[in-house]
Amino acid sequence: MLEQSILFTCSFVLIIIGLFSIIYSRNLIKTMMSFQILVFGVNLALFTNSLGGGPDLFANTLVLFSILVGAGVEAVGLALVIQLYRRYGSLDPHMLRRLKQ
Amino acid sequence: MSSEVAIILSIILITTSIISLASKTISLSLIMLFYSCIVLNIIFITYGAPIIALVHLTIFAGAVSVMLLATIVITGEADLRIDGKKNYIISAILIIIITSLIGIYISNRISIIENSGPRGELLEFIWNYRPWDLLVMIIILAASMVTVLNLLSRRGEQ
Repeated sequence: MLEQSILFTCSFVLIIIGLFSIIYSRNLIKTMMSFQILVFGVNLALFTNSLGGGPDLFANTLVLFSILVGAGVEAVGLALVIQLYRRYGSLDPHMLRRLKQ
Repeated sequence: MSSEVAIILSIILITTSIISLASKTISLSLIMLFYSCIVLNIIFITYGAPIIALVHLTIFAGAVSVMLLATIVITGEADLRIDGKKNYIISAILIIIITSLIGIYISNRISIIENSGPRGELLEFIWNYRPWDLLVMIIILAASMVTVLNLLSRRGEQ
């Protein structure tokens, strides 16, 4: 039970770190890394639910699905980053907003 | 499993994640992200989910790290200065030693995973319709692959 609360706190911290870094990041590659940290936190939170004697199979299925969805979103996001760099020559979101205007 | 292992692994995971996001050198960020992925896999293995750890390691430490590296190289954001080489080596050695010690500790204490079947109606439903779940996963991966190929093709640039 204590391990469950420790790991759940860790996953919560990871989610908060990822969210804040997504908001304040000045580089789109760093934004994708922040998203990956966020996915790590979500996976850990889903997995932690199965530790206290709960249904392990259900949690494992959810974690597997979350891993695959996270990988798909990461791939599409990185392709978008490359495309944005080809078009605008920069990866700074503020600069991209100014170039668009 | 004692709670000290959970505390140590959580601290390492949070520390590597913070270093990965706070570092100004993007190569160091990628290395630390890789380490945090490995520590998360150690947590999965420690608490009895080796299959999840295997899939997680294959996808995130393998495929996604290579995609991130390719993006960094294509966009020219990699900072390959010689000055930071000592820091990389020291951090790599430290994390390898720490994770090896934890791995030795875990391998002495890990218990045999019980091969328990599904329990309850919801779990039986999920277990019975498992092929459909796998089919949905394959469709998601195929859709993301088609999207990436369309985005990376140069046809729409003119």
